[in-house]
Amino acid sequence: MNETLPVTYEDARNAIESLLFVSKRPLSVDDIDEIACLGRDTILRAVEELSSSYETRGIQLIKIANGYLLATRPRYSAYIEKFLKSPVSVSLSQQSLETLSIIAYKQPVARAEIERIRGVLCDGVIKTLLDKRLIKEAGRSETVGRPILYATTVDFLKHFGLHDLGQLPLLEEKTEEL
Amino acid sequence: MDMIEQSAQIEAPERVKILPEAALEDSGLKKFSVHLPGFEGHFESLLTLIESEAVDICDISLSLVTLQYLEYLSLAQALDLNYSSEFLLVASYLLESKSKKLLPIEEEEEIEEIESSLVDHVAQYRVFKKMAAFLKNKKEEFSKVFHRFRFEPLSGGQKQYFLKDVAVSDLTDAFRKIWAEVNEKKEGFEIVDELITVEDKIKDISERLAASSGPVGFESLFRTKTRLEIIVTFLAMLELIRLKKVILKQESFFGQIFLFPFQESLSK
Repeated sequence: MNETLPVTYEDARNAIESLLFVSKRPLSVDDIDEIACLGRDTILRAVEELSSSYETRGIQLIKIANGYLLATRPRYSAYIEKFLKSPVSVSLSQQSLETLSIIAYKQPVARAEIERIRGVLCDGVIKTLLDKRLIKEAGRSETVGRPILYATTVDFLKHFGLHDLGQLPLLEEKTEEL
Repeated sequence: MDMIEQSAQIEAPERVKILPEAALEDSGLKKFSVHLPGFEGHFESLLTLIESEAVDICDISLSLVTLQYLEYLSLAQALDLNYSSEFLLVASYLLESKSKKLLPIEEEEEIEEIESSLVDHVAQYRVFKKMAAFLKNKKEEFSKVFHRFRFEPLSGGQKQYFLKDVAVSDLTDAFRKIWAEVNEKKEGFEIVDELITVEDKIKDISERLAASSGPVGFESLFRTKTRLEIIVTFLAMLELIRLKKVILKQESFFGQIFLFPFQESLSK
């Protein structure tokens, strides 16, 4: 293995590029480091550089779910959809989206709290979201009845193309809207 | 209630009129407006005014609001469920806060608490509605981006659920099948020539999974098919599932069960 290790920085950057090309999931800096042992600084630099070198190209390096992934540009989606012969978008219902956003912000959160905010029962919606793996059970609350708490998953980030939860817009002050 | 409504009419403050309706009429359906002694305008605006204390909820006849809403519904061509459930939500808050306000409450603080909880609650709900819209946009944007492993948990593609694809009854059926085979084969005594432990079998199964690049068939796990082996193998397999080393999948209903190495990367 030793003789194949990259020696120059360009080499290292190209090695990372090749990893990103074959990877079927977002690769985190740690993932890359584990495989290539290049050190975080080199990896971050390489990723930055690759990302800017793709700027004028049909593919891009996206930051998603705490990792990096090579992906196409939205501009060319029509061609790809034609090629794949599939309009791929599957939509979520309004209830699902609302419930999901409450969980995203208040996680870990119990069902009762979600229902208090939405004013309707949410067990069906929660089950759907669990089935779609957008949320998961995240322990139990220490309050009476020890209700199950829910949190969003990595799949949630991947599904919405988010890098991490910090990318969600900040909750605005209530006075703003009223 | 009658008395209150009367007093409401007497005490009604100067008319508050807001919001041009033209903008909304453009969008097709005319929004529900209320016409009350103290207020005229959109229902949502009423809520806003009550929250900002420009209008006292005790001055508002909720029964009149409801009556006008029912009229509005009967005139509407189609029932917009989203909108009507929103009406119910807001109306019930108004009802709640009004009834609480009408009850004699000794502590002044308590009233404020109720009011602020109403404001908080409605505000919170609106914020989350906005969030939902944000997520929807994000999703739409991202659906135009393709990558090597287009992640689609929603399309019901490959499910990686831990034991999700195999029901317990499938497992017991499979076990019975093997068990029946051995009972057919071996009548009478059984000579145990080799002691297999669960640990051994766990190792054995793990090695076989590691050696084969793909899945391993459930039935192929049993080599000698002695009772001891079957029981030990079964226990070992359950243990591996519990430890999340292995997942089970089935090709079809009542089909053969396969063991897959549990992939951390996919379940993270």
